[in-house]
Amino acid sequence: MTLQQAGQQGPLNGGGSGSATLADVVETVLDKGVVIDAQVNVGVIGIELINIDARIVIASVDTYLRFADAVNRLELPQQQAGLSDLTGGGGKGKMLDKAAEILDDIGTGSREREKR
Amino acid sequence: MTERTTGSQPTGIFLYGVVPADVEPTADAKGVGDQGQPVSVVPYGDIAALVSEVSLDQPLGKPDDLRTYQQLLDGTATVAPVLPVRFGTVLADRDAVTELLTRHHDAFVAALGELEGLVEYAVRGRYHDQVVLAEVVADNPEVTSLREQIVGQSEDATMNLRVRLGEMVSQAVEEKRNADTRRMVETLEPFAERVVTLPPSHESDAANVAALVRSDARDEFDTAVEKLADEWSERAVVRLLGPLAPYDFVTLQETGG
Repeated sequence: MTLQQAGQQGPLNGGGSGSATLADVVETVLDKGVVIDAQVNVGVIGIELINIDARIVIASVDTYLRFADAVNRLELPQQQAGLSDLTGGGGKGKMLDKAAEILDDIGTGSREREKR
Repeated sequence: MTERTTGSQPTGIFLYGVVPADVEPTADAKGVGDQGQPVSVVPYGDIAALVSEVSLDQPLGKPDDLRTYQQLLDGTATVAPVLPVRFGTVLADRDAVTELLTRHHDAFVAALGELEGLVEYAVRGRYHDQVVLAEVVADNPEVTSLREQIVGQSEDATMNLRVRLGEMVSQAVEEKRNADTRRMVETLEPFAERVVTLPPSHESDAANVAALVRSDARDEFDTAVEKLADEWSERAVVRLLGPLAPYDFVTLQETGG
């Protein structure tokens, strides 16, 4: 078995960011597969899954405000080019904050969660 | 591997998946848990379960556990059909596993038969936010007008306007996602046995799709995904994950019957 097994990626655009992240793994495997009835599961204990709560709620006021911020920070082509150097990444950065947060949660927060 | 209890530590049998009886894990395959016990099989009739011993006094679900689980199943799926069992399923002992296989032998055999020669791929598109948001602004005069009302004012004063703007943008992005998802499904369907749409996992998702692909059609499928990725390259990144075990194509539910 190699670490690349699950993350093999075709020669698509996206380059180095294309390998399977932990978020990919979570999304791919969690809550999938054959469900075995608890009757046989005499031994099921102590399974504490990370990050189910890290999944994004798609529609919420928070989401709306994030979208609004992103759009408001958007530098449209017809606007001054000089500004975009300073703020061009702002909207995107904001939008992607959540993804980074989740990765942080999953990557570093699991021990903490497990102790709860 | 023989059954035993190590000292006073309670142990259980972690169940990864069900495979045809002729599948054997490689000698170096290690299971979930901090100690990573060897992966072995519990055979019954024409099928077998992939299992490993786990300590019951330590919770599972660390990132490495998920990766181990996925790597074992994905690796298996490239050589044989496999029915993934939901992550976190632990039985009391190997006898309980045998009992499970006995009870559902025929259903498992039938399900494995349907998966013969097939692997899953996940295809995920993620928008370039700046590009897609610019599209939304260009398509919606009302968005532009709301932006103009908001600009230069304090956040508190524009709370309601911003919520309205965000909702409008969010809906517009969702419409784009629906359209792009349909486009992805239509593009991939000719090269797959089955294609299912999965819910978005991120607000910038363009499409999230799983496909069950014949092993001998993998190249054609790859090419179709690449073509779509090229077509979308300005506005989204398309990623192909796989071959995977058929996580999204297993509908069996153990009923306890």
